[in-house]
Amino acid sequence: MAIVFGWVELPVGRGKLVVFSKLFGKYRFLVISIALFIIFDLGVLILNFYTSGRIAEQTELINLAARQSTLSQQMSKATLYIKSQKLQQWVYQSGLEELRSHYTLFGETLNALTHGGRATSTETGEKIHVDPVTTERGRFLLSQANQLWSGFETAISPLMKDTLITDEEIKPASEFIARNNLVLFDLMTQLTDHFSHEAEAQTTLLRRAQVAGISLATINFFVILFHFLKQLRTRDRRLELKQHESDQLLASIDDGVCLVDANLRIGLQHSGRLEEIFGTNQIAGRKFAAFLNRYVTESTARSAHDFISLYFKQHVSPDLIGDLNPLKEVKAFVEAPSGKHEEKFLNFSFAPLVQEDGETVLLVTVQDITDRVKLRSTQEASETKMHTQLALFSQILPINPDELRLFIDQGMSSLAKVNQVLKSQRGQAQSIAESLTQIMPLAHRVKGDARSIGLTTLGEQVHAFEEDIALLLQRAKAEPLSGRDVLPLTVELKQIIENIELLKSLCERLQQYGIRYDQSVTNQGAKALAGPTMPPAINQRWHGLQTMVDEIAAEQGVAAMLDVRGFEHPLPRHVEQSLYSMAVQLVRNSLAHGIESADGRRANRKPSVGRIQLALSDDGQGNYRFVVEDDGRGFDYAAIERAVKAQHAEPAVDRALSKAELLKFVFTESFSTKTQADATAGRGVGLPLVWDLAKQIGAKVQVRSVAKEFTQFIFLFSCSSQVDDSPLNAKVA
Amino acid sequence: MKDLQHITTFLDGVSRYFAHVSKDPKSLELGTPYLVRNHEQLGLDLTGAIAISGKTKGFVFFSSSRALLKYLLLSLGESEFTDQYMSDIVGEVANTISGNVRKTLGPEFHISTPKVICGHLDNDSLKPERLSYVLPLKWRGNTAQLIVSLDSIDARE
Repeated sequence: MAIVFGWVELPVGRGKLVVFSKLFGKYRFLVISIALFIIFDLGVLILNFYTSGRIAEQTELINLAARQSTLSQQMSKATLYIKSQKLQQWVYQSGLEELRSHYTLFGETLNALTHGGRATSTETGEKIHVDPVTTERGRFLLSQANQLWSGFETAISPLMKDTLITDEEIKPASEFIARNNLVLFDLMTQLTDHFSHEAEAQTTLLRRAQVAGISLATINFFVILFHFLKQLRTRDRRLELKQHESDQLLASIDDGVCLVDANLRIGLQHSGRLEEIFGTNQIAGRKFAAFLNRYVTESTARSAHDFISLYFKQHVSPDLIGDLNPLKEVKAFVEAPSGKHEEKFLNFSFAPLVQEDGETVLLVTVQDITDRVKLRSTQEASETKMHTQLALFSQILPINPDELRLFIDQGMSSLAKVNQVLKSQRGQAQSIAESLTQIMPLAHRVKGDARSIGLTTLGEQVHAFEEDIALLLQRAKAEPLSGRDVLPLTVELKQIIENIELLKSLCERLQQYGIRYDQSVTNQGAKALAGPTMPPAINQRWHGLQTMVDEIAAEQGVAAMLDVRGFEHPLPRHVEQSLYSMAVQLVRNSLAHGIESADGRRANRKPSVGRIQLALSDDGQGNYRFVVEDDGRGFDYAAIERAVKAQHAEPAVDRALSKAELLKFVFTESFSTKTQADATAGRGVGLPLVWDLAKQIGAKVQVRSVAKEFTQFIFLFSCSSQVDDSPLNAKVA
Repeated sequence: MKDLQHITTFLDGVSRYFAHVSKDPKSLELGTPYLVRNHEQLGLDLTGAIAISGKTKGFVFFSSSRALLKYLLLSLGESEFTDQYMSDIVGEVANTISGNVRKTLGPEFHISTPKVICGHLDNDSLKPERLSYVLPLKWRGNTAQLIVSLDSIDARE
């Protein structure tokens, strides 16, 4: 490969050719200008060198010509000296030697000037080469001088032969020199002047050439300067225009765009949208991963760093690594101008670009997809919520709305009491256990009531709450409890309350949509529900207890029928609610402890299906009798006594206890004859709760039980009964 | 049970502060936590409030009696008990909670700069019917409360 530069053919490699032609093409004017500058300067330098040599030669000629003038005078003087000395008979040898020396030197110099040759330097006394004088005037003067010198030679040559000279020899020489000496002197002086003029002309020429050369070089310099200033200005304008255009382009792009170089640094330019996305203008020049680290988790930023590094490795194909992008739909937290942190979802995409200089940069595009992601998650959340609500709807639809409403009121009231117990607790370790003991029956009631109307999920939640209380109470026996121990219970309590509130809101919405509620609950009915007396319609819920019986019986592996009688008349609200909760607990108790399995019943010659009866009657005077009875195995007083004695080590119980005393334990203390608690029974909470509820309606309690035959709880009360806080006086029939 | 995790983190922040001041890790006693409706009167004499944003939204309040703050200032070598000093100290406790939250719960949990409120809390920014946790605190016989009002993600979502 070769390129032609001027007339010189330069062999170069392909790469070199490209670079050279590019440079030469782009900077042609500069190269030519600089070449001219150098040529001008070199020209001046060469001329200077040449002329300086000429001037040196001319100076030597001037000196030689001037010496010739002097020699002509000295030869005259020496001749006169010899003549004078000889006349007085004195020694003249020194004058003769001087004459001879001057004569020889003059002749040699004149010959060298005329024909070229060697001459003695005026400065060093060494032999130097002298070129023949070529100027017209010089040659004329030298021709005159040579003619005259031939006369001198004729006159002086006899004096050159011997050391002794005669008067005949000196006299003509002296006369000739005296006669022509001035002419020769004049010729040599003119020659000196001629040489001086020549030198002056050379100097003038040199000065002019220097001025011309330097002027041309200076002009050339200014041409270069102005040309480049103009070019720079044009280029700056173009750059400004390009910058303006790219700024406009970057400002109008909807996505965040920037470049990342091989050092993984963000380039100097980026789109305006990128600043909006990250809420900062401090982006240019930052390390990509370090910049990201402010907005995403450290591990994501690290993965991003590793990922984009792959794009700058030569053996890695961008198509293959695209799927590894860790910055797809990445969550970022960006500080808004208000100082609040805003959650954003961003999508980063990467495309490698090869620049003109062969370097690879990465084009990074950032899309803010927050709205899209949030919309999707809102849709998902609302779908989940809808499914949950549908599940809840399906659970509450079979429930009598009045029963549900009553449960909600009663449940919220019980849970408010639980919260009140927690609130009034003063933090002493002993009283925490006491508070938990107080909370247990309240929770138990909610659980029982929930399950009685078919709210199994809520019942399970409250059961878990109950379990946690039981565990804490167990721990309290070994170590004092702290507020931190109770914190999980408070969190659970909040969840249970919120779930009941959700039920309430669903219930209201059902009513709004007129589903079933318009059939059973009129505005008047709803008002009656909130009033002091329960309408008869609500008493349907007593018949609904059969569902609970079936569920629990199945769990316990028994079969039972519920017989409900006498709830046709309105009852005071608080009485009805207490009786209902009492009935729930006692029915659960019957199923857990009373009703035998089918085999057990057959062995006792009983019908295979057990019977539980709830009966309410009154004497027309406001005195009520509420009876809960089952045909199960009856109280196992021996088992109760064993359980009481296992729990109490004190001497007061270290004796045979009466049935009345044993019943008192059963109704007032948390213990169970069941060794393992389950969702139905086993904590010994049910009967204390029944006793507590009975006290609230001022009921007297009677218990009748025959082993293997039946158990009967009788509650006697009137609507005017006051809360009875007296100790249990259960009558054992 | 995210509520429990969050509350424990807030509580640890407060405990750490009092443990540091009194050089006794058990100096701060926690009473039995309970619930309040947001429309009820909340807070004691001075309160440091922190707003929470991100996936979980809500507020955390460290509310204190003046008596506790005076003791606290005394423990820190101060002899003046101006409102400004007390406000500063309440803000400092709230800041400690923020720091602990940032460290423990990470960047998804955003906490604002604490704001100090004198007297009962302004409930305007809380949903009135929702429940908040009140954690009664006692330090050297003086009372304070940590009130946590979160839009629970456990029960509703």
